[in-house]
Amino acid sequence: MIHGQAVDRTNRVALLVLGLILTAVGSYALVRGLGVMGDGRAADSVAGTLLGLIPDPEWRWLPAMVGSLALLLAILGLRWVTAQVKFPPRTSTVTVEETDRGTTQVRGSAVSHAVSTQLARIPGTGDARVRITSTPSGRRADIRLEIIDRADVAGIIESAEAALSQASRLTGLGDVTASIRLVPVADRRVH
Amino acid sequence: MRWLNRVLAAIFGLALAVTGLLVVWEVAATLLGPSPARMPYESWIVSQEAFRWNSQEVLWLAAGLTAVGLVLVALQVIPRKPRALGVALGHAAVEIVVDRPGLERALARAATGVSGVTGARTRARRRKITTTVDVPGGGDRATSEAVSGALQRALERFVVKPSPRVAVSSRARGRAR
Repeated sequence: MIHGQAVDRTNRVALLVLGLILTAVGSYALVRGLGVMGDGRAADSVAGTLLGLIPDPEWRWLPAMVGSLALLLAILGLRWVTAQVKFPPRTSTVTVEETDRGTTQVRGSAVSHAVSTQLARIPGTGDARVRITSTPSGRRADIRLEIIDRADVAGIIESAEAALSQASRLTGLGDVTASIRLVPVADRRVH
Repeated sequence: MRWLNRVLAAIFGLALAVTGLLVVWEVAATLLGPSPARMPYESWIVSQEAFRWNSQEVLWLAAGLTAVGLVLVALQVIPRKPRALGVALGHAAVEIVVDRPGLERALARAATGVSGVTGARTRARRRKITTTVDVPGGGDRATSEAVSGALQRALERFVVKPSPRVAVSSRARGRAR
């Protein structure tokens, strides 16, 4: 799954849970305050009720437990914030060959350019954009490929896979997982 | 919607982090002994004693929390337009998708290519593709079938999975070509 999609899914679940919690807390306060649970309970002090939730205020481990929980929540909160702006880094260099006499490296952008040029040469395709990133599970190529209306889609995909495999073999990219986004365009948009 | 969620996530995440760190700070200060850095929470609690569940401020706060919660829930459960549709081609190491807005425009072009159709608008979802075509004088059954066929042929090229249902409607609009 692409990094952005995973973040979007997490956001959706987390915000849904948060929304349900806020709705439950707000509804409870409304119900209690409007006297549905009895006039006596509606006139209770809010702070007193909340403090009454602590089972044993004198329990010696209470501060440590509250502190640990708060630390966990703070770490989760920080991770949630950073996930919104953090993207997998682009591959800066690719090692083609490594011998006793030295190392041959290719810039990641040069590999991306080479692959996109290869892809754009496939009949029926238009513009091609390639982004190669390094993720913990290995290298990944995110490709956006324009295809014209009457192009042979299956043939283009086959050629694109071959081009990617050739590029990864020649440049030493190794095993690359790829995500190809086909963008249909009108014939006149393709140069 | 995704960007709104990202902003909301950043705001709530930051609020969670700040609150958590403040509590950690306070607990640490309590455990290490009285220090000037401690927050005056005892006096806060005393000042909050005046607030009852039925006081106006608490009721307004409760209504606000409920409203924010309901809006958040509604925003998450509303079905969203997919960014892309899956394609049943490629192999395990290569994920192939077709861009949804691009596919919608391609299908609209395919529908517009049918004789008698002057314009088309397509909405693509994972399981259903809805196309509205403009036919001067209103569309007949033959036009709808021709458009439906053109859409099916265009879709077959992309091998979209799962195969969506195609629905065509027509409206009397535009001038005959």
